[in-house]
Amino acid sequence: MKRVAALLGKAIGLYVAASLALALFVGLRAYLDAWPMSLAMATLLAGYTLPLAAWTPTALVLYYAMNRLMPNRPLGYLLLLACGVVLGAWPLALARFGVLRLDTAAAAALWDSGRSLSVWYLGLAELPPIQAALAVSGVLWLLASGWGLTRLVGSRPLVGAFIAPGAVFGFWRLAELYAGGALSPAFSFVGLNLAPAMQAAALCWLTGLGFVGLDFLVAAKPGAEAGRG
Amino acid sequence: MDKRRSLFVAYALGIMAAAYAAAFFWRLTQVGGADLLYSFALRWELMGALVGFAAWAPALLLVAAALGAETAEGPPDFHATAYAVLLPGFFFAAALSILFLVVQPYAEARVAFYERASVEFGERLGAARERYAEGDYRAAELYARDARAIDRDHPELERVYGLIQEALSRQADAEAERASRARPDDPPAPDWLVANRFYLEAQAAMRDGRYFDAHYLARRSLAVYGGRREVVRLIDESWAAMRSLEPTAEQRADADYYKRKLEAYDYFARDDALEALRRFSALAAERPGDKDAADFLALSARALERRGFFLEESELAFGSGGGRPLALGLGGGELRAEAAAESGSGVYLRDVSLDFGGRSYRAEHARLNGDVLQLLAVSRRDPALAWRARAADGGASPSYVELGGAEAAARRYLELSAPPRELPLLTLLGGMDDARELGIDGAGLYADLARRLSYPFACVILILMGAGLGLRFRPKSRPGAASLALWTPVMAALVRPVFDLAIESARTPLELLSRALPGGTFIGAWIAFLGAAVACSLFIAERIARHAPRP
Repeated sequence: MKRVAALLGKAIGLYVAASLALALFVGLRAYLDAWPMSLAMATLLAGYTLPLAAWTPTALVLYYAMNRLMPNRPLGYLLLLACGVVLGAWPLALARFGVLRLDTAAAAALWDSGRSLSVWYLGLAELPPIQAALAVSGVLWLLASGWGLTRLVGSRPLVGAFIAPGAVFGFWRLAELYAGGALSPAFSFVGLNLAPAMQAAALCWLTGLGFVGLDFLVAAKPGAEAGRG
Repeated sequence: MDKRRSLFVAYALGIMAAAYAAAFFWRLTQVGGADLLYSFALRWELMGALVGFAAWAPALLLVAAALGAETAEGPPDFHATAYAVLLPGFFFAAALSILFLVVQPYAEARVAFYERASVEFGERLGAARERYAEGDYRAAELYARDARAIDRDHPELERVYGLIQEALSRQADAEAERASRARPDDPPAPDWLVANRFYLEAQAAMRDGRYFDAHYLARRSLAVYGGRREVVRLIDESWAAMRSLEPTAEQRADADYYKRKLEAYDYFARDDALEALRRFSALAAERPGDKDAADFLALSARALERRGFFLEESELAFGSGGGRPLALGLGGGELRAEAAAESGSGVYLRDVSLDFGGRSYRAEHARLNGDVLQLLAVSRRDPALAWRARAADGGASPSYVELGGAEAAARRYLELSAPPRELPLLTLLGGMDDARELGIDGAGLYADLARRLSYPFACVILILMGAGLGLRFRPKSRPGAASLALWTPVMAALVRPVFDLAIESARTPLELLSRALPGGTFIGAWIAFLGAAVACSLFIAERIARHAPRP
């Protein structure tokens, strides 16, 4: 319980730090590119409209902390997913209740797939709640599933340290592809008529499950050695 | 030597050698599709492999540092490890900086040269073949010589060049034979025989109505061998015939030609170089052997070049490239060109607009020559074709405008507006403030200068981070050679997206500093930023290594 609390605290701390860094970055871009809004507004927008971008480095650092502190894999994935959903979906929930107004302006400061996925994420606020919830949790599940990759080569933890950051970039690309409907013809082919957000959700969940399965089948157990990566 | 240090050096050298070999092999598979000259192929592969290797070098350095720390034995002390790898790390930082600053641009330029020269060689050889087939052996030889300047030993070129030389030799022989026929080398005939031949030729000319020739030949006959009455009679008859005649067509043509020559000279004397050039050009084309026409054609061309220029020189300056846009503010005026290209004789401009002295002009072609903007372009091939500036107000436009220091400013502008990667480091360092003064967007220059200054710092950062990661993720047992060989390239490949993101993110502080600070201050500020980044990376690497497993 103590370890879970430590991990939760770490997740929140890292997420806040990442959000602040992101807000500062977007604020600078707004100044340099002369956005038609005040600097404070751009910074504020970045603080709550880019939760996926803030959660991604948070999850990446958490993977390694969990390898030391969380020997239970199912609980670890649950924790990653829960933290991800709380920290990554709160702006959508608040926007649903009319507390926040979501704006895609801050996403313009991000790189290619970061920008398009963030815009897609903000667009989920317009969808029915079930669809939005499944879609956003699908992306967060996909990001959580990278944990196993850090332990993919049990005899060489260093390989995992290099695989996981690269894989996170790959997840963003994959999520962008899924969100963009690149695999829609496959759904039509098997006779499934799903909304685009549901298609993305299904693909993200399935891909995430695949990586989690890989973890259980191939990767080393987390926390097997105290202090080990 | 410290074991950790030697391991890092061994890994770094081994990985980089393997990476270069892999890059060379990759180039080897590409050479077929590159359509290169055989003589360039090996050098293209070597230089291309260097370019490929340079793109991977930072990732390889990080992986080498990580592997060195991963496989080192003893306690996972980050400071000791960092200290051990930093000394050779500085060596690698210096070597890779030289690679990026000097070797990589050179290799890129050589690769581009080999590709371009191979294409040009093919074009020249093709043109030489075409001209040869058309029987224009002189032009064919010029094209073949151009091609030989690129590759002397190309077998197909040697064959074509040999054919051209044979044809030229045959042509020269035929000309010599014609000349020798005109000047027979027989022993001098006796005077009476020579005189008789002149007499017979004079008779033939008389019969043909060529009275001038008849008179001239008969007089020569009499001069060589006097006393023949029939010759004297022929002289009288031909003289009488000449006096009774109208001028011949040939004489009329000569007189007309001479009159036109005088007119052309008159234009030349009145300093109308363009009209003189047009007229002498026509005269020289009509009678290529006329020395006066050839001499005054050259003098007219020289006189014209004080006010205008020949379009062919502009075409030569632009070559196959399109030049670069130019925008200069000069002494209260503004000069803009869609494209500008330099050559030894000036800066050539296309699609020019000039606002000067309260008037605006447009010109298709112009040249900056010293302090003068020349707005008159003439075709050397066909001087009837000339391009002049048009005034926006419809009034007369000058053929040239005095613009103080224009050529020097334009050359500096073009130098600094070149792709920053192509600029030498010293030009970048000294050109920041000039760029600002000339109104060039300096963002690219700042970015490239920052990129070049970053190399040594980035190398140190990568080594520190690699050491931290290697210590933190040390395995229970030392990894085998197969595992190293399998995973090392994967690790290097996976780390590249992270580098791309880091480079992308670094643009923001770079842009902020470049906008806020002038050239000299910017360099200091950027180096301070890089120093801070090294300090941060030291802190982060130490934090990463803190949870390293204990033996």
